[in-house]
Amino acid sequence: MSALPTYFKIASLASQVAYAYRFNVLLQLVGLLLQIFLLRAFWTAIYENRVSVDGVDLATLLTYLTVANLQLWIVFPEGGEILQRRVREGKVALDLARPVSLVGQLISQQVGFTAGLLPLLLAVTPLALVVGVLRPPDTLEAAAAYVVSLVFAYAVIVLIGLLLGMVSFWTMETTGMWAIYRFANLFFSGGLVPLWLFPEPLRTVAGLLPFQTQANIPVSIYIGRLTGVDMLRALLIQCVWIVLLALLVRFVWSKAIRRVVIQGG
Amino acid sequence: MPSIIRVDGLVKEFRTAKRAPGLAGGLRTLFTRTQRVVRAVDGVSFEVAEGELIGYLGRNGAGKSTTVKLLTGILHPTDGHVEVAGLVPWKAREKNALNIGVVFGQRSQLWWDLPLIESFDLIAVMYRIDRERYRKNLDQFTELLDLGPFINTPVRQLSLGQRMRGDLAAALLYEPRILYLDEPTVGLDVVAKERIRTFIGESNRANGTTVVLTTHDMKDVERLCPRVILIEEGRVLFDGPVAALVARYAPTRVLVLELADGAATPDLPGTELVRREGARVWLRFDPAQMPVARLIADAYARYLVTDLAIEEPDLEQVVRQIFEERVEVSPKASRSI
Repeated sequence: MSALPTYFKIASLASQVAYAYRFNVLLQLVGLLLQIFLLRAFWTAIYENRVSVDGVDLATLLTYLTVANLQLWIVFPEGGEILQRRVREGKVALDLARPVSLVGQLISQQVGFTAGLLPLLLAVTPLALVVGVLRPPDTLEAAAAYVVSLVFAYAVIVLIGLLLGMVSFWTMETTGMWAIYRFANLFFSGGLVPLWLFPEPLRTVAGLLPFQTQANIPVSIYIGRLTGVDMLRALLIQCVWIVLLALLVRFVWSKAIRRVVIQGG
Repeated sequence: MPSIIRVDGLVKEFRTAKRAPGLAGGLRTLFTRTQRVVRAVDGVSFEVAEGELIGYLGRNGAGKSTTVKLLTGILHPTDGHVEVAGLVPWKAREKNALNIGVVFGQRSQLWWDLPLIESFDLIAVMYRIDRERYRKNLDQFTELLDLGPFINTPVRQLSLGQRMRGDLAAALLYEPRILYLDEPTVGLDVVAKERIRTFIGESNRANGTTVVLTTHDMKDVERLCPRVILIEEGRVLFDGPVAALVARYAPTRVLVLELADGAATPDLPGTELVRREGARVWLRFDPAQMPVARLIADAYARYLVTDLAIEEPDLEQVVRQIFEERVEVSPKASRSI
């Protein structure tokens, strides 16, 4: 018996929930546009008298930052936050009393939520052209590879979100952890400064972390900085992270499920 | 009737970090791992026959909710054996879930931001109810629980009573064989409580749904449960019919007399004066020693009686009395859960 119809239905409900919060979402999008605008102002000032830095001209760099921030906003570890909330409220007990897996419920909720946000993001994208700089993908091939890389990026963030969410089974105090995650993800993914401009020890560190899969890899493909063998290597790195994180999620989940202590029982 | 739930020697221990009070204590907790083991369920055994409706009673922290969570497979036990409809719940949690409905009074399973009907639609898909049966059950519940006026309203806008009706419908839409109700009437007004009780009783009677009900409201028990299991500090204190519980723990009755001569102190054999208010007196007696009919005859023979009544102990009182006595005799009663 397949649980797929259930997951589709959960995703469909989650997309309606995203829509129910549309005004909040639109406000967030205003913040996002502001962030893109500030990054543009900042980097334009830095570039002032130079044609290119490290072989990248200003328009390409700004495209990188605009695309990176748009997708960092939509690719968000919603599933982990949901899990954390459900554990805190004790509602995870109800989720566990369902005939389908909890991890499956969380993933479908996250996918549905993202799907619900997507139309709102696309509606705002033309404005990103005004406040930031957004050029089309480098080549048709780059566009296709970008989409693949974006799907991988999404898989990575879903898994990271689940791992962070499962921490709630050990401790209820996860606010600090989420704050560190948000900052690390914004910075080490390349959302503020492209990774190729990082000074040396930092660049190596960024290369060892999973966050580069979130913005740097897909967006570098988009602007044509990663092509050919380098591009394939980058996609492979994303796949390796997916496999590693999936194994880790499996392992941690098997420990978590034995540890379940329902709050307030 | 064969047993649908078998619980044998069930034990659940929780480990909690021991925390000394104050800031210093909080800091110390960060570095030391002094753990305290709490036995929330301590060797519980019972069986429930298919179609039974039992009350599972106990004080806060007595281990009621923990037992329910073990039966649903959400918690893994420390020791003991459980079988629910032939399955070991925590080993086959998702399969077991198809057989059971769960309502936690304090926590809703409904989708908070969406109209009530959306949660029902999801359940129809999740439990693979065919369209026709879904339609039929939904119509029936809409009528019994009067869901019509708010079925298209987002759950967050519902009153507690409406939400609870929605939760009950959600738990029964797929006709589970067993229904676990954890304080389903908590916080509801009298009318809402009565409606919920009627619905639970009807589901048990008409569909043969086995119901395990935990509650603090003895009116729920009096209305619904032929049998109760009383637990205290994780152990079964009593398991049997409500009448037997009352007979065992509250064997005495009270005769209330109002005498024409308000100043007289009635002296009837086999009774003990417990209270006096003007011309009205309360006399306790044991009907096993002194039959009611004889006592009444005695009273009329000796005094000029203007009013007479026999007070039955109510369940609330009996249960309170049991727990109060436990506090006095049990050396472990101060143990926190």
